[in-house]
Parts: sequence; structure tokens; C-alpha cells
Amino acid sequence: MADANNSVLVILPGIVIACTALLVFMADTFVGRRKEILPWIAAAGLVAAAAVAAAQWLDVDELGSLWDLVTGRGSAVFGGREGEAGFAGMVALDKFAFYCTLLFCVIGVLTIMLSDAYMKKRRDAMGEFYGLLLLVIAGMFGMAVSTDLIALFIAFELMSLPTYVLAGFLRGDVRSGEAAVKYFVNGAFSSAVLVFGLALLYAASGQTNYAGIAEAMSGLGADAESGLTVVALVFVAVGFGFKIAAVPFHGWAPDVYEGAPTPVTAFMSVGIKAGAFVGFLKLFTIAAVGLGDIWTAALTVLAVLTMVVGNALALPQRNLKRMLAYSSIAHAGYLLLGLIATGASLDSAGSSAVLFYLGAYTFMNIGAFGILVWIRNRRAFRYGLDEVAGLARTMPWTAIGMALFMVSLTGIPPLVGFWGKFYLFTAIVDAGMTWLAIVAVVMSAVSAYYYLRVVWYLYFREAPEGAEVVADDAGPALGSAVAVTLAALGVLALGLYPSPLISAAQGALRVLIGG
Amino acid sequence: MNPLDWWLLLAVLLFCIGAFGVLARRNTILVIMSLELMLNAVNIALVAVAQFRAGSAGAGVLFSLFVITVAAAEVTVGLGIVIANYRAKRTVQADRFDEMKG
Amino acid sequence: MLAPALGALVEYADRPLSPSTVPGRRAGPTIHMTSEYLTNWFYVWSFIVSGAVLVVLILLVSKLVNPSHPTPGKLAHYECGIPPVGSPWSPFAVRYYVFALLFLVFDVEAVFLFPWTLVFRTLGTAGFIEMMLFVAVLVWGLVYAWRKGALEWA
Repeated sequence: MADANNSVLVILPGIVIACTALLVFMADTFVGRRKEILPWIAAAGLVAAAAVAAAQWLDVDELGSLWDLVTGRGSAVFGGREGEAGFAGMVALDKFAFYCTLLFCVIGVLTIMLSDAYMKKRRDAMGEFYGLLLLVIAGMFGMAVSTDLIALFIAFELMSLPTYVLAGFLRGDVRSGEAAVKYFVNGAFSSAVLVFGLALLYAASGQTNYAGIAEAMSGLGADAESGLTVVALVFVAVGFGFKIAAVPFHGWAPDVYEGAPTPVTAFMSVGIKAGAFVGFLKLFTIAAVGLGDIWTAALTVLAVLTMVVGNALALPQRNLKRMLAYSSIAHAGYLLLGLIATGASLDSAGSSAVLFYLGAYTFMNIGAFGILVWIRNRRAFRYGLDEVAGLARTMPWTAIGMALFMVSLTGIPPLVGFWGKFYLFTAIVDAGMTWLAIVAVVMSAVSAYYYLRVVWYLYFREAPEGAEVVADDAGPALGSAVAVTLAALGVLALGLYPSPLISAAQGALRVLIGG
Repeated sequence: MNPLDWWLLLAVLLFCIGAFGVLARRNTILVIMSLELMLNAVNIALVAVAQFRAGSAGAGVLFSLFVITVAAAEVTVGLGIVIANYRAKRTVQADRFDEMKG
Repeated sequence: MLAPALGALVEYADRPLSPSTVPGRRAGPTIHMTSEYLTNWFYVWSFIVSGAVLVVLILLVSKLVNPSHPTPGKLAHYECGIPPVGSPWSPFAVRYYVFALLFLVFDVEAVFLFPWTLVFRTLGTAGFIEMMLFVAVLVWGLVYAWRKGALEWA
């Protein structure tokens, strides 16, 4: 058991984020009209947390320099040392958590920049927006470090509760309000199902600690696969499925994604998904490691349904925001493949493929939503497909960006989306489930129709009447432009040179799987 | 059946009643109450396991404390959202609230 | 009918408890599980059942033998409060909810203080500081609500 000082060190990045959230809330009541400072405080907090995590990562790894990490040579020194555990084994800060923390901070900073255009018109609510956003990220950090059912539950709720409020952020807007109510009811229901599953897992094993559960389960031998265990894992999978909007628990997603403010939608589709995936990756691969058959079977059903239904429902959508919502469901299906591969064979690269894909997906999807925010900032825009027709002539750079993100989301080389899918599908084939990979490839081909149709509209359709560019009253939002540019650069750079992210993702997993 | 099974059965029954309430009720306030019922079922299961299961760590009692507080936070957020919608729709009729759930 | 049942109940309640059920109490004569214990429970159950039957019986008899000629005057509330004005489903002022929500959070979060007091001495100074930090975060929230005007009655 680690001493108190060490425990604080273990969750230091999370403490930095949470304290920044408190600071933002309080600063909001003191700065009067000068609210522009709030996003800067929030971003500074995230950068500080990322710096703390990076420093700790380098310390644990004894890496020569950051350069080794960037060039991929650092992978040789990854692994070896155990992660630090704190709070009586409730949390453990390992390389997995470092990777995730850095990823979450990137997601947070991109979202803050993206929300620039949006928040300029709603200055009064800036404090709540950035404060809640930071709290969600603190919860996501908690998901990444949790090694105990109690800690997992608290992190899950910390990640979820502020999101309900963010979804309903447009007070007075009926659709945003409806999104909030739907998201709240579905989310609260799913967390109740999840925590009941956790309670049953505790009933089956008598332990709440991941390692303790695994030990108790292996001690039970053949008795471990009792009805109680199956029900517990299925409940956990259902709660998880709700949160990542896996079919058949996806009912809330399209309405919520459409109704919520676009920066929030971008954040939810990437951040919440990443938080849920890393948290349950840890739960499944550590606590339920001996029960791979059970949860792999449950997740396989979810994955097939999610990929097929998510893509099929995205096909007829002519509202871009809604189309991206359904495609986000489909991407959750691809990500599930990585988890299944890990469950089928622990040696497979499934988990590191999940981590890589989460990184890749962050840039692609925040970029795609960012383009929508950007267009809306420049002219009247209701997210219709017809409205972006001929955009290549009126806003050429925006059109290039949009095309880039769409092609990457489809998974066409040499962009990062291709590598993400490549590693996921390779992992599932290596795990001996080729038929799943075939389903995934076929569904990717289906997705090409609705992604590339957008590109077709951008370049080969005539612009509709009244589509000329009108500068926004509040002025151009530089933050949003920077966020989209960074995302585009990320998609391009990591597509051409993916090895740093891959080696980081692989190194992050060594500790977890014990390789 | 040993005592733990009876308690778990009670928890499952309560949980199912709550789940039915969430799925069947149209009034958001009643939905929130049903959610509370589900979480209380979880508490019963946790405390029963901590009490009756041989060789279990006592963490279940601690877990239930966290579930209680999180449930309170959840209700607060839920009611806050409901009130915000109430204000936005400028209506005082409780049954007009159903429009929010489609 | 009631007297013997009540007597049995009083006798049951006054019985000397076995040392196994109440630790720390001096050992008295234990109740024999087989006969006396079950007899006592028989009295309790017969009391409950007879009470329930009696209520139904009295209501039934009064329904059967009473003449019923209701007039508005007879049906009116008599020394039982005043007739309600308007629907009882009228909404509360929304501002009550804000106080209710604040109360809910601060009230329930205090649940952590109770286990803390039990182990206060073993935790020592570090435990005290940690709990003060916890309370400080709650106070921070209260101050935030205050500065946001949530406590204003307007």
C-alpha cells in the first residue's frame, strides 16, 4: 500500500484538472465582463495536467528524451516497470493512463478551441461551459487510472453527469433541452444498469479491486463461470454499450448529437467514447481476464449490430450533423473489435489498436465537427448536405479540410483513419475471428458511400442560391480555425508517419497486459 | 437458498420495478424516482454481499455510500435539467412535460 | 378476545432475552426454541389477524346497519380544515427547487462525515486535513452558488 504522498502523486494530473475546474467556476463570478480569460485558464490547466503526466511518464520510463518517444525509438525502453498504485490499490498510474491522459488533454484543448466561435455569442455561460468540460475530462482521467470498481463507478459518474448539462447547454432551445433530458434519462439508466452489474461482480467475487477479482475468479476455477458472473458481465457490457452508443443501446445518440451544441457533440462523440473505452478496457482485461469467453461473446453481438446498423442508418441522412452521429455509432463498432480481439487472445494487438484508433479518431471527428462549426460561423447553415454543395468554390480551404476528414473517416490511405482501421482489423484477424474483420471491411465500404457523397457535393455540385460567405457578427473565430487546422495536420501527419502514435499505444499496453 | 440469495433476489426485483418505471413512465419526475429505486436496489445488493458473503472484502458498504451520494448528485442534475426545460417551455402544466420524451 | 393476546404480547416483550441475541446483557434463562418460542409467535400473529378481521367487520356492520341519506351539508368538511381552493397540482415557484437542490447535495455529501468520525483517531492529522479539503470543496461550491445569486430570493 502506497503512502499518502504517493497516492496524491498518482492522481496528480486529475487533481490539476479538477482544481482548474474549481478555479474556472470561481473566476467566472469575479471577472465580470472579461470572460475571454476563462478558456485560457481552462486550456492552461489542461496543458499543465498534460505536462505533469508527460513528466511522470518520462520518469517512470527512464526515457532518454522526448525525441526518442516521438521518433518511435522510445518503444525499446517502454515496459518493464510496474505502474504506481495509490489509495490502497484504487487507482494505478501506468503507461496506459499516461497515454490516455495526454489523449484526453488533447481532446480537451481541441474542444476548447473549437468552442470559440460558439461561446463568443454566449459569453454569460462561459464559466459553466469550461468548468463542466474540465470536470468531464477529470472523470475521463479517473476512468483511465481506476483499478477498483468503486473508483470506476465514481469516475464514470463524474464523466457522465456534467455531460448531461453540456448537452442541454442552449437554454431556451427546445431541441437542446430535449437532448439533455433524453441523454440524462438514458445515461442515468445505463449507469444504474452498470453499477448493478458491478455489484453482481462484487457478489460473484467478493472483491472490488480488479486484481482481487481476477484472483478470486481464478480461485473459483470452473465455478467462476456461474450464472451470477454471466449476468454481472452482461449488465456491465450493457451499461458500457449505452455509454458508447452501441446498437441496440444507441437510441438516444442521434437525437442527442443533433440537439446538443456542435462543439459538445464533437466532444461527446470523441471524449466520452474514449473515456468509456479505456475504463472498460482496463476492467475487462484485468478484472475479467479469466472470463474472456463471456464478455467477448456479449461484445461480439454488440459489435456486429453496431457496425451494420450504424452504417445502414447513416446512409440516408442528409443532415450532416446527424450523419456524423450515426457514423460515430459505427465507429464505436469498429473500436469494439479491438476489445474483442483482446478478449479472444491477450497477446493480440487489440488493445493497442483501440488506443491508436482513439487517437486517430480524435483528430478526424473533432475536425469534421469543427468544419461544421466553422461553416456555421461564416454563413447561415443548418447542417444540410445540400447547403455544402459547391463549397469548393466559395470556401476552398474549408472544402479541402472537410474532404480530408471525410476520406480519413472512410479509412482510405494515406490518412490516419486507414491506419486505425488497419490495426483494428489486423488484430481481430490475428485473434482468429476473420469473419468479424470481413463484416467490418464490408461495412467500411458501405460507409464510403455517405462519406464520399459529401466530397462529391463539395466539388461537383452547384452551390445553392444565397450560399455566399457572410462574416459572422461576432467576427471570425480564430480558435475554431486553429482547432480544425491542427486536426487536419494531425490527420495528415499521423497518416504519413503513424509510428510515434503506434509505439506510444503499444508501450502503453505493455504494463496492462503484462508483456 | 442461503440468506444472500434472498437479498439478491430482493435487489433484482426492486431493480426490475425501477427499470420498468424508467421505461414505462412518461413523466420525467417519476422517471427520476424510478432511477433512484434502481440505485437503491444496487445498495441492497452491495450491503447484503458485504454482510453475508463468506470471504468478501467489506468494501461493499463503502461502495453503497458512494452510490448514495452519486445518486443525490444525479437527481440534482436531473431536476436541474427538468427545471431548465420547464422555464424554457414557459408552461406550468405537469403533463405537457411529456413532449420532451419522444 | 384482545386481552389475552395483549397479555401475551406484553409477556413476550418482557421476556428475558437470551445472551446470544443481545451481547453485553447479563445471561438470563433462555427461551426454548421449540415450544415456548413458537407459542409466543402464535399470539403475535393471532393478534395481528384478529385486529385486521375486526377492522373489516366493524366497517362492514356499520355499512349494513347505518341509514345513508347524504346531503351537501353532511358531506362538507366539518372541523377538518377548509375546502381546498384550486387544484392541488398547481406548480411550486421554481425558486424553491434551487434551495432543494442545494440542500440535497450538501445534506447527502455529509454522509461521508459519519464514517470519518468513527475512524477519526486512527486516521490522525492526515485524515483531518483530507476531510477539511473535502469540506472546503463543498464550501467552495456553496460560495459559487452564492456569488451566482442562487441564494437570492428574487
